[in-house]
Amino acid sequence: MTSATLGVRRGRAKGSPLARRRRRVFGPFLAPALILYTIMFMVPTAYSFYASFTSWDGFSNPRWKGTLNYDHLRHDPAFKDAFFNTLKLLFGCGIFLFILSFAFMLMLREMKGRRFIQGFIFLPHIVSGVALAAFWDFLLNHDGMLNKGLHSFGLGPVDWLKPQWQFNAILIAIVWINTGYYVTILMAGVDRIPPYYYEEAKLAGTNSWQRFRHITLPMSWDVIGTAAVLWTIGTVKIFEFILAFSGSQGNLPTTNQWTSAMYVYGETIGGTSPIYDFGRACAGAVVTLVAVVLVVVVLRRVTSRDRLEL
Amino acid sequence: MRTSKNVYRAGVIAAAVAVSAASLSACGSSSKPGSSAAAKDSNSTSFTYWSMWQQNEPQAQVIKKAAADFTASTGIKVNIQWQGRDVITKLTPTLRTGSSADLVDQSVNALGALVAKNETTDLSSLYSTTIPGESQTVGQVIPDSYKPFLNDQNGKPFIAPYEVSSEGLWFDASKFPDLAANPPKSWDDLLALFDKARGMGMTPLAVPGDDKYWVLLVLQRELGTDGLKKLASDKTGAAWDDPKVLKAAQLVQALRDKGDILKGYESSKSIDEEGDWAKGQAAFYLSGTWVPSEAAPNATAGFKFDSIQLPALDSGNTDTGINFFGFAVPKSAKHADAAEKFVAFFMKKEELSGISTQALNLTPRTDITPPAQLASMSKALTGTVYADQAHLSVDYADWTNKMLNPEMIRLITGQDDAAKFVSNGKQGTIDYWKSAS
Repeated sequence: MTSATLGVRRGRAKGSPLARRRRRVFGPFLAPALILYTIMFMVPTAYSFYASFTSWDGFSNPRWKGTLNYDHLRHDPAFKDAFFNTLKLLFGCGIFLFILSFAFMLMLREMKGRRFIQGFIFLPHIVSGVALAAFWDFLLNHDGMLNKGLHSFGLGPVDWLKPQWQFNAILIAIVWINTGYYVTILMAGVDRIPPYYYEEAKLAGTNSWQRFRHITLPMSWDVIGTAAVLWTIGTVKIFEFILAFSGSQGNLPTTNQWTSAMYVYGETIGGTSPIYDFGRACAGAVVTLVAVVLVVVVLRRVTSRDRLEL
Repeated sequence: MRTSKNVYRAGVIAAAVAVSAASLSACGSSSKPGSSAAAKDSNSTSFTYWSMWQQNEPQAQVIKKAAADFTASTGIKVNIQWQGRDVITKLTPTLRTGSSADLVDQSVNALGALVAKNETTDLSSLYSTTIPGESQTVGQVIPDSYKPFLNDQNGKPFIAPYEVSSEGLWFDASKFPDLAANPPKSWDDLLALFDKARGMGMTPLAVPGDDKYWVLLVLQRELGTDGLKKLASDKTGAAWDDPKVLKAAQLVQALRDKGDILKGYESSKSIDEEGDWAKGQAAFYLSGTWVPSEAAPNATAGFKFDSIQLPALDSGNTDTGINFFGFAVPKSAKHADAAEKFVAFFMKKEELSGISTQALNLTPRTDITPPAQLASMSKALTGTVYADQAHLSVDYADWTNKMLNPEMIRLITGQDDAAKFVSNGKQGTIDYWKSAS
């Protein structure tokens, strides 16, 4: 659809009485959702922003303390760990996840029984993070399945979960959990591409890389962009898997495994002796939010291309 | 255009509702905590108790029976809600408008959050209440040595403890029958004991990869309880320069270097190591009072749970750490009178015994026989006691979470040696206080 046709339609819409009425109904229909959204999300978000400039235990009245919480974050090694780990999840996991998802998607496109395999790799996304964490521990701990498998070949045991490696195990698990989901999204985008493009390209003597580069990639670009934004927002929320996997008996994971979400939990109600420092936790959340917004804006810019009409 | 006018009006009303709802919620957050607490009843016929237990836990069974007995005896109804371990976190938001619970229970540490906000009732009058059907008061059945740890910042009791816990070095008394009576008197004795275990074909120790007890308890033995606290409170970090800190760290490092710990422990959790120990793969396991009931399902046939305390080191300190689980009454509780009556009733020997016989835990009452597997622990608690883990996890919770715990784990798992532990601890403490100020 070109902008010219859009303009014509808009012009017509202005004049039509039906469209005028439609526009008037638009507000009241939108209002309930908007009101709920405002009360449930916007007000708490705004309040969190305010709280980040206060000293607040979540119970007494917040006391204004200016930017002290933000100054604290700059020196807090736990926040540095949490922020850096979140970036590792976002970019480290993200790159692997998308390469893997593309590989699966390309493989599955041409395969028989692809629905079954797609369902199979989607499965971890449905199972609760806590159950997956238990399984991951069962697989990787010293007496776990992986070491038992190695033992039968006369190898190992390997300390997969030694403290230095534990966060890497989390990163791999997060990729494993999410791959199926992103394969499904990408697949939906690629499925829209009419087969005759490929047929024609094949007749022209292209190889599969060229077909990927010149057909698949440009024609599913908008889906990739959306998936990248979804992933960015999703990484900030990764929480229960890490708590279940690395925490034990009500204790928090050690700070070198914290993410931004874990930081907020750890500074407020997490652990056996919670700290209830909501002011500082809000400051941490605001910094993360700003970082995510920046990443999303950049991603939108990079991936915003004119959508190709099919 | 009636319709469109109506629609417009509806939109305006909806917007007005939204604005007023938002401002209402803002009003809600500026009201004064506890200010709307209703006048307290003096003859309540019921009260609400939010419990830290889940319904199927043995402690819950004991409390449920006591509540039924209490209702039968006094006519006061007990509304129990099994909230689980995060009961205090759930309670806190309700305190602004008057507590939802008249009675809560948790560890003395977890209740510390309410104490810090001055939101607990002074239980002095409960302590001087005579236990129904007995001659002693609630305060009299609680040993005096425990009392300093049960007070708030004004020196008034805020918790009525019904369960006591501690830590010890656990072993199978069927393999070491004389050990409880003749515990090691020095570190060398302890190492000799570990050698003996090795001679018996066992790895001496099971230690989880996230263990905090070994480093913390050895530091306590080297420095004494106050010395341990200084590591947190001394903002200059100079407390870490005490050569005893390095010595304690070296003792722990030596255990690892010597191969006294089960292989692969660095990547394990407490539940794994506890299981391996109960199956007889290791001889000793340093952990809390809950070990016998938790490890029993994994224990080999004939396993007899018993424990000893760590020997004295340079400070000469042989005190036993103590932790309490008990009842507290929120300040804004409306039926505090009934709640306190129930607590006095629960402290009856007849009721409280269930904590020992059914829940297999220690009670504060010395006239209740402890479970056999906790007899040694109970005896240790009759000596001098100190607040469990020197109260670091409450008084310096943030420092403990962010500085001490990670460093202790790095030491016990061999990522850092003793010297690095000391230098990291010192620098970490200096940095922590700099950023906390």
